[in-house]
Amino acid sequence: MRLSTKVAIALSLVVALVGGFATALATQRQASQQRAEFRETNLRALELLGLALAPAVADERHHRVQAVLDNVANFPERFPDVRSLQVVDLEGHILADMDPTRFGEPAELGDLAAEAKILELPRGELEVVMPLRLAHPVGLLRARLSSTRLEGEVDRHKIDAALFVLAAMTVLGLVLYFLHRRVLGAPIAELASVAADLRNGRMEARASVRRDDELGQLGRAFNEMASHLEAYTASLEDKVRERTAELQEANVRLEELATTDALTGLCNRGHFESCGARQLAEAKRRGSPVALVLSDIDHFKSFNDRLGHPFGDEVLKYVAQVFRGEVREGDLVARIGGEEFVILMPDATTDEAAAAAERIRAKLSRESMPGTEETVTASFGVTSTVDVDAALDLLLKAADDALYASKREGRNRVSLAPPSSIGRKSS
Amino acid sequence: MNRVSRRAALGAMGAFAGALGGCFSGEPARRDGPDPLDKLAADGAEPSVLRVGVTPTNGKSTAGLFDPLVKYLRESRGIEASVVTAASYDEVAKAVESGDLEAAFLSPLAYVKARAKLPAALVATAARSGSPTYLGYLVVRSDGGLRSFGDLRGKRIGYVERGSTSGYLCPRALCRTRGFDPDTFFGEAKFLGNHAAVIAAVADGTVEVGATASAFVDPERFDRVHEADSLRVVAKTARIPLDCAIVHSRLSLRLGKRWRDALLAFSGTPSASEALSRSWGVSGFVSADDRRYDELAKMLAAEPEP
Repeated sequence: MRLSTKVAIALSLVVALVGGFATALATQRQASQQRAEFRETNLRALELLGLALAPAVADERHHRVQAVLDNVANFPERFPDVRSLQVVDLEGHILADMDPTRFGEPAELGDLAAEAKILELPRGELEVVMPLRLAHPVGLLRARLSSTRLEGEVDRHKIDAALFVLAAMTVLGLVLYFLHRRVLGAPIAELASVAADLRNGRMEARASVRRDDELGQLGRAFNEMASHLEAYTASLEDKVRERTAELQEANVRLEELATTDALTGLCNRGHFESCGARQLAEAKRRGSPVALVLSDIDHFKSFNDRLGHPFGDEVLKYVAQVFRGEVREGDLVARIGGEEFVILMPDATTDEAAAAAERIRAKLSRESMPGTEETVTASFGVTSTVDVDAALDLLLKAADDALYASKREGRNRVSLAPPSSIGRKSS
Repeated sequence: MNRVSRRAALGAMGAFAGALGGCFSGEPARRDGPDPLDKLAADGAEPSVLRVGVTPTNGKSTAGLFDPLVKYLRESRGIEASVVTAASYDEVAKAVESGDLEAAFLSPLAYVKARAKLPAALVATAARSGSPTYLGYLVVRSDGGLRSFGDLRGKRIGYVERGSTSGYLCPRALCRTRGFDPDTFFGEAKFLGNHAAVIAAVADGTVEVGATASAFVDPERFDRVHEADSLRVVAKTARIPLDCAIVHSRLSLRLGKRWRDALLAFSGTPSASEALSRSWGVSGFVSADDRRYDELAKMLAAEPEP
């Protein structure tokens, strides 16, 4: 049920209760007034009748008195409240009656009333006994009046009043319903609609404010709240974007830290192993060769011992730089031990790898480290999947064997993996 | 007291004042029930002259009796009426039945006897001094010592005739309402022919009690018989409706209504009304109500077949 309907019903009920109570009081008061007026009016009319009848009664002109009563009886529509009229002489005999056959009968009155008496009878009837006087009492007028017509009118007034209240309540209810719907219901419904828009993300939604009352204030406050909410949401989104970028950057850095040797910037052993295994699997699937060069700096310990560990680090950085400068794009260069470097070269044969190793060896041995007098040499072992099964550990083992051969043969040289290396391919 | 109540109070007092004066407005009284004229057709006959049946009243000639009414109808209402006198009410009823009369004034008893078979509609009831009813009286000599109805047991009674309403039917009905059979309650019964004879018979002691109408006994009435001075009223009957006016049902509804309106408005012309009152004893008419005659029909039904 709409709020407007509830408010209209509630207000109508309150007004109906108050109105009904007030109407009941008013009709009750009116009914009492009508009853009092009925008595008073009829008493006055009977007094008038008594005054007029008294001379004829005094003269015992019963036919004149009877003619008056006959007139009342013959035109009941003119005397709707009169049930009976009777005139009694001082001896207590009926001088005239609306039923003329009662002429001469005893009136069956207890006493001849000196004053007017009114008796309430059953069925809403009223009996009035009134003395007829000239200078002295001459008889009695007895009348029986019915209040049936009056009570009918009172009931009709009550029904009319009830119907009026009912109609007024219906009209009032409808007026209140439409008024409330227009004045309160519609603006509240609009606010609810705008709130739903905001909830659904339409942050630019605003209530139309065309009034200055409390609802207007509420609408303006609501719109201000919506504006704040929109700005706050926008700033939140900016922060989220910012944080996301920072997070992505951190992730990149984290990945670099996880995959890179911090000193030389080359791949570390872990990354080399995972990456190398993938490249080997890929090359195997394609049927292309992969070559591997393993290198170790000659007499590296003497740099540390003679020139200190920081210099040793500079040696490592320098060697890494030379490696990077001499490999192809797509070759994977890693530092996998203290002074041990490796190059994985997709789509390269053993000879091509040996050539690359030779270029590196030559550059190192030919030039001194920039800014120093020191020259660094390195030994190399080369192998490839042309000669060895495409498993990284087998390739490393074969290359290591060749490297060992280079060391053994005086260092600063490139050796190919000997045919006796582990994992040698059977042809 | 608010305006409406004050008006109601004045109305009630005025109504009682009207009862005192015995005046009436002449307007059709509003009563429940169908309009008797409903039995007339819209395309009924509209003769240029209405033949109106009457009977002699108390043996008087009708010559000139109805002149005030005929003159009033012609001059004030444009209705040409021709009074046709019949020997009795029964003859009038028969003439209406045969279509020889377009309208008639019937005694209440004649109307009650004939109403079931009459091709006629009740139009109005005559009124005397404003009253459409009168009473039947049982009268005795003032000096005779009879003072109440009970005193009349075994007394010789004088009736008018068996066809008289107030002079026979109603007094006997009164006797029955008191719990007695009129044929055994009273002594010898004499039929004296008219009201004046009944009153004279009581006055001279031929009968001890007489059945007559109030108009012949009440002082100041034009029909009063002077012997009534020596009489006393011992009992009164129920109200008896006065003569009724009827129209033949073959007349048009329009003419029927004109006839009724003319009769009801008659008392509004005092000179004509007074003249008719002096001649016929009727001063005007009031709206007809068939129920006025029901009580009379019951009395008639209670009478043994002759």
